[in-house]
Formats: sequence, C-alpha cells, structure tokens
Amino acid sequence: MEAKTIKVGPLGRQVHYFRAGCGDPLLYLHHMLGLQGFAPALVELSRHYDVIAPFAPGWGPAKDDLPEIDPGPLDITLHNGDVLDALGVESAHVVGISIGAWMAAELAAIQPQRVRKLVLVNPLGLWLEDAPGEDPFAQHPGFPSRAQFAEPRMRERLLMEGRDKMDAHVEELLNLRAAAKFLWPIPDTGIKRRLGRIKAPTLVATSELDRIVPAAHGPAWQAALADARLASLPGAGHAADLEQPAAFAQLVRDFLQ
Amino acid sequence: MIDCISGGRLISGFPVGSSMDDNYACGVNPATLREKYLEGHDLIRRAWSDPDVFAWNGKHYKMRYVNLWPRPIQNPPPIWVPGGGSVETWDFCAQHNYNYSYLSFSGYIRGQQLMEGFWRRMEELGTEFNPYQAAFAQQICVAETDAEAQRLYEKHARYFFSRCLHIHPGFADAPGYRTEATIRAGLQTQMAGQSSALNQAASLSWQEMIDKGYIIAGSPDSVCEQMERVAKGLKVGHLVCLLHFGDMPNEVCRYSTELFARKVMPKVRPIWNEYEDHWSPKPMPRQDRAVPRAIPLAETTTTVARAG
Repeated sequence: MEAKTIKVGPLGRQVHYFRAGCGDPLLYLHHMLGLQGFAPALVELSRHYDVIAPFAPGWGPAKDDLPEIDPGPLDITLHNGDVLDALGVESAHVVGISIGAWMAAELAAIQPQRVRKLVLVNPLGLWLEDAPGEDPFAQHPGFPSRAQFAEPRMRERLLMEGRDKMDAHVEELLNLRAAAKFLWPIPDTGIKRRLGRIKAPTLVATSELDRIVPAAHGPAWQAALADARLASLPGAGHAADLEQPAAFAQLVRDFLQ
Repeated sequence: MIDCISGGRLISGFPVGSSMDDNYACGVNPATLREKYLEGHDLIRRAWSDPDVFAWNGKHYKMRYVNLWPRPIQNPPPIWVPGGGSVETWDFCAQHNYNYSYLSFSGYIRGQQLMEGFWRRMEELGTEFNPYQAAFAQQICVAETDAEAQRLYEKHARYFFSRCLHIHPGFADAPGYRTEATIRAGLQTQMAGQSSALNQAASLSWQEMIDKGYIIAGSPDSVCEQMERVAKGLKVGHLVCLLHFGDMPNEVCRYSTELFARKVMPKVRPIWNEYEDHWSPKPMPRQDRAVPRAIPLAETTTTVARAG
C-alpha cells in the first residue's frame, strides 16, 4: 500500500499516512522506528477498524519537518488533533507504541474528547530510577536499532531485507534522531503530571523482553491513570508490533471489543 | 578576554564537538546539535561586530541584553573549525572563509581521505586554493637520532594509542550527530573511525606507526622530511604540533620541544611561502602588548617540580 498525503492544520503541514479498513476509527501512533509500510499488525487491525497510521513529523518522509516541531507535548498533540480534523474524524480509539504511546497519552490528556479508548504499548515517557531501561540512543552505530527487538537479527529482517542498504540505514538513523529530539537525554517527557487528566479507558501493555521499557513501567503507568488495565506480550521486544503482529493485534482487539 | 590579554593573538576554535562529549557526557540533544551550533556561531559573530547592545531572540539562545565587554582586539579573531569529517562543515568553511582543521590521531591515510574531500569541495565551490585555509594536527617528537627517538618516545606513544583513546562504540555517534549527507558520503565520525584505526595503531611496530602517519618521530632531518610529506601531501599550511602525548614526562617533552624549535621549525616554516596566510592572528604591534613578568628558568623548573 502506498502512503497518502494530506495537508493538516493552519500551517498546511503535509502528512504522509496510511488508511485502510472499516469500522470504528483507530489512530495508530508508531514507535521510534517509524512505519514500515502498512505492516502486518495494521493489516490485521484493519479487518476490524478504520486504521489511520500517520508518520509523525520528523519520521520517514516527514524527516524535514523535525526542526519545526517543539519537543514538548503541545506541538505534537495539536498536530495529531489536526490530523484527525483533516481526515474528518471526531474521535477515535488511539493505539500508541513506544514514543507513539507517549504521544497517544498526551492526546488523551490534552484533548480528551478525541480519544475513545486508549492503548499504550511499551510506553516511553516516565523515568523510573530503579528501572531506567537500556538507552536506545547509545547503541553501536553500525546497527543502532537492534536493541528495539527481543531477537537482534529482527533488525536486519524487518528493516533491511529487500531494501537498498544505505537507504534503510539512513532512514533508521534519521528515525532514531527524531525520537532523540523528544527523549534526549532522559526519556522523561513530563507526562506524569498529566496522566490524571486521561478519562479514556486505557490498556497498558509491556513486552516481556523489552530492553528499553522494562516491564516495571506497566504498573507505574497504571497507578497514575484513572481507569487502566495491564497486559503483557510474552516473548516480544520493544517494537512488539513488528516482531509479533498477530499477538499485538489480538491484544488491541481484545481490549477495544 | 584572551584576545585582549594576548594582544590579539587568539585563534578562535569552533568545533561542533564530539558525540561522546557533547551528546552523552553533557546531554546536548543530537537532533538539534547542528542548528544550535550554527545559531551560537551567528550570535558570537554578531556580538563581536555589533558595537551596540542588542537582543538575541534565537531558538536555542535567548538573551535580552547582549553586551560584550571587553571587546576582542582582532576584528574578528580568526575562526578555525576543527572538523571530524562532515561535509556540511566544508561548505560552512567555504562560505565564511574559515580555516578547516583536521584534528586526528588516526594516521595519514584517513587524513588524506578527509583533506582530499575538503579540497575537492573547495574547488567545486569555486574557492581559490590556499594551503593556509587548512590545518592538520599531528603528534611530533624529535631526538638527536632516529634510534634515540624510538628509545625515548615509543613507550609514550604506545601508552597513548593503546590506553588514552578508547571509545565505547555506543557513544561514538548519537543519532542525528551525523547529517544525512555525511552518512551517505560514507564518512564515519572521527571517533568511530578512530576506534578501528586505533586498534590498528596499537598493534603496529614503531616504524609502521611512523610510515602510516600516526606519529612523526626521529632525528631533526627525519622529522623535517616527514612534516614536508604531510604538509605537501595534504596541502596544509598550518600544522598543529602536538608535542606531548600519553604519559610523556615533563623533561622528555621539553627536550623534544626544544629540538623541534631549534632544528625543525625554521626549516619547515617556508614550505608554502608563495601563499599568503590569511588565517593567522593579526596581533597588535609588539610594543603595545602587555608583557608578562619575566620568570627566570630556575624558578619555572621549581614551580613545575612543586606542581608535578
């Protein structure tokens, strides 16, 4: 599937996004590695939902938008609201993973009327002294996103295979650069002070083998939320939807149903 | 302040900084490192040139009152940009007519790759060739004979190459530190390049370390010959001489430095005489400069001994 484009917000910022399926709208906010096309987890979800998956400013084809976005919560939240407006979506289920889970939580806290149910998978944004997790940005420069997977070889399989090696590596580094803009040097986004504002029923899921967001983060998010359930993805790493698309889609569906 | 104290002899270095220092040790965000650097440059240039108080409402620096005092003697002090090999830095130097300095511990071959890229880019941009627009840092040690150089300095060179430059690969290159153009040009960061080059250096023989340009060492004649090879081969007019390295003790360093000053410097100075050097400081006339109190040699030695 080819990405579509649409102009959003008062600045007319161009957004590249995928949209497929029918049913309730579901906004998917991607992890640090951006979108690998309309990946299998999204295909699976699109059998039950109207799935909208935009590239966040700074990622993939939107790499040049990074300087315009302030690293705080407001710009990115307004932007995501603009995306829903431009697509004519009043409210949606919002599913975010990794840094996308932080963006999803901000949307639910700042524009609660837009979010029906909220799914946060391996959410970044809280800093726990006792469970800091591995630094996703202090990796070997030759294969910097191996830490995103339970099985390091998944980087080569999921991000590199069948692509020009230089193109894939450049994209990998630029996507991590975009994430670094929001999360450097400590992934504490200040979301803790806003979690109490979230009204949407929330699922917080952590991957069993996530090196970046240790499982201890699940209960910490749950404790700060008004209405949250906890779940776990056995055997998965940080980019769980890429590694285990079926289990990821099932987990989301079980909660939204 | 340094320009004032020195009577206008400051060379102002504008390095972007290494990833492990700026990003990891100091917490500077790599995604905005370069725009912050460029803004800092613009702010400093404005502060040097604008005689009035002004407000700076930048993205990374916000200052309601910029009021530089004392003002530099030179207008402006020469700017040298130590680069580790990113292509934007070459364009930046060409655009502002700055000196590009390659500071490297990773030998002549990598230096050649970098400097060739620099000169090619200067030519593409239509910049007139002048070797003084480039500088190269090099570790140098001089003795009476080649054999004495090996006896005096090899252990300190080994200490330096095998102990002082270890860089954890995870801290070599934060995402965003290199720009897309630099990644695509196949240029590693200076530090990532060094990690592999250094592993090599540590296992080389003394003669190989010299032949491959990790170090310049030997009798005054040998050192002159090696320096000429570097200056002409890389087309650099400025050599930044690193006369101390590793665990070299004070008296050994002084011995080497004195031989360098007496027997090497006068011979290598005129290598590029036919070009005019626009990148060295332009100090005040000597008689107008502040003069430091003369310290007798005996007193310096005691001070060093006490401090050491």
